[in-house]
Amino acid sequence: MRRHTVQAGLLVVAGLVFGGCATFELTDGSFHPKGKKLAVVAGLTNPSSLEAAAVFTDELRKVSRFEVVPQKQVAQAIPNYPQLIKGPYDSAYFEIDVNYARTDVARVKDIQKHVGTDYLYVLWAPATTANAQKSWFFTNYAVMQVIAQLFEFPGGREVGHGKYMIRINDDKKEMVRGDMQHAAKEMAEKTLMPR
Amino acid sequence: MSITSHWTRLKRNYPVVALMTVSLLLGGCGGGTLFALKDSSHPIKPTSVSVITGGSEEADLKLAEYLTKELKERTTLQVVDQDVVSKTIPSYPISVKTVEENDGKAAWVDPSEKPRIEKIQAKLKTNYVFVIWSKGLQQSTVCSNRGGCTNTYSADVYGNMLEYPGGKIVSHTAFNESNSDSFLALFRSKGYYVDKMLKNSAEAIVDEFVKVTNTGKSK
Repeated sequence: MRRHTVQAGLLVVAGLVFGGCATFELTDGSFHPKGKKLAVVAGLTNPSSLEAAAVFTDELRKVSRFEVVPQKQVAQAIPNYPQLIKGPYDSAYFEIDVNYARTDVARVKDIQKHVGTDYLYVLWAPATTANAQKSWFFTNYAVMQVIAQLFEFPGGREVGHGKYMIRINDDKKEMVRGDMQHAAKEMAEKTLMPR
Repeated sequence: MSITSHWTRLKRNYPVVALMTVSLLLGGCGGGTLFALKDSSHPIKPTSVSVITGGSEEADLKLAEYLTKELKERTTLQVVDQDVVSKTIPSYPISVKTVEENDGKAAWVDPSEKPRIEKIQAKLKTNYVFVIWSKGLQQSTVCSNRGGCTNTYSADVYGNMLEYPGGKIVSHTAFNESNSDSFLALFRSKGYYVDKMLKNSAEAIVDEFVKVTNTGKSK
């Protein structure tokens, strides 16, 4: 009985995490894309942010009409990449305490000068939480928390943002691609750029 | 209330009681070394210091920020602000590898990392570089049968201070810090208790730093 309750609880949590929640919202309701060139940039220097930026780049290339700059090119264009960009949160230990006004937009604008794209999708993956309870019957997932903002250039205006979670397969130590694909697809659709 | 029923209640709430006992015994700090000189006959000169984080997670950055603030407010050393560190070192923060000893009771900067720290010191130009890490941040939750849960946050804090010129390690720090939330968590920001834990760690390090190095500001 207790096990069933736990399983049901896990399903509900999983549903809430990966189901109905939006991974991207436009901040400008009348948004219409003004260009196609986009770069994904990690706002933190930790391995999670770099990996998330790489996987999001791959997935966005597949599902959108954006011309997404490869990560290798991003790393070559931006001096000392990755750089620390103050992110849109007050704290981010086990969950992100969102505050979109905290981002260091001046640094974002400075970085854009090096890549020269129409859009910059900056993402931060400040926290990854693991499940301490292991089970033989289920795959164990750690959860990587991601927060992102989409900036439009020239100007550097924020046109969209989102917060989402990506599962990490504990056994394989890799991101669940489907979760990132879902986030990339939603961003492409909401910015009117689906493939 | 009979002793039996009291004991039954105590048994039922055992995890909470155990957690409270541990917290009371350890007073939030799991023991260890807050700040100790590697060679007690080698004095720390009241010159200048910059704090750099050896990790790149949120907790590492915040700990470096709090330690910088505490050193600046309470010691006579010239302390470089974290904003300045971040601007001077474009790739900051960098992950600095450690060599751990005695099952994590001490940690030392991996010798292979010394050239990187030397480059950082050359830009910051301080006599000391204090490398600090917050490792293994954990949250454990204990719920009582009568409802209500307590979250306890803990982390291992490590530190090494290097002296320049030379890059010799002159001090070490290694302890576990923890902090539990209360019903007030409902009214507080999401990171409040972890922030508090990191602030406490920085305060504790500087308490000992001032005692050991005799560099406290006169009140």
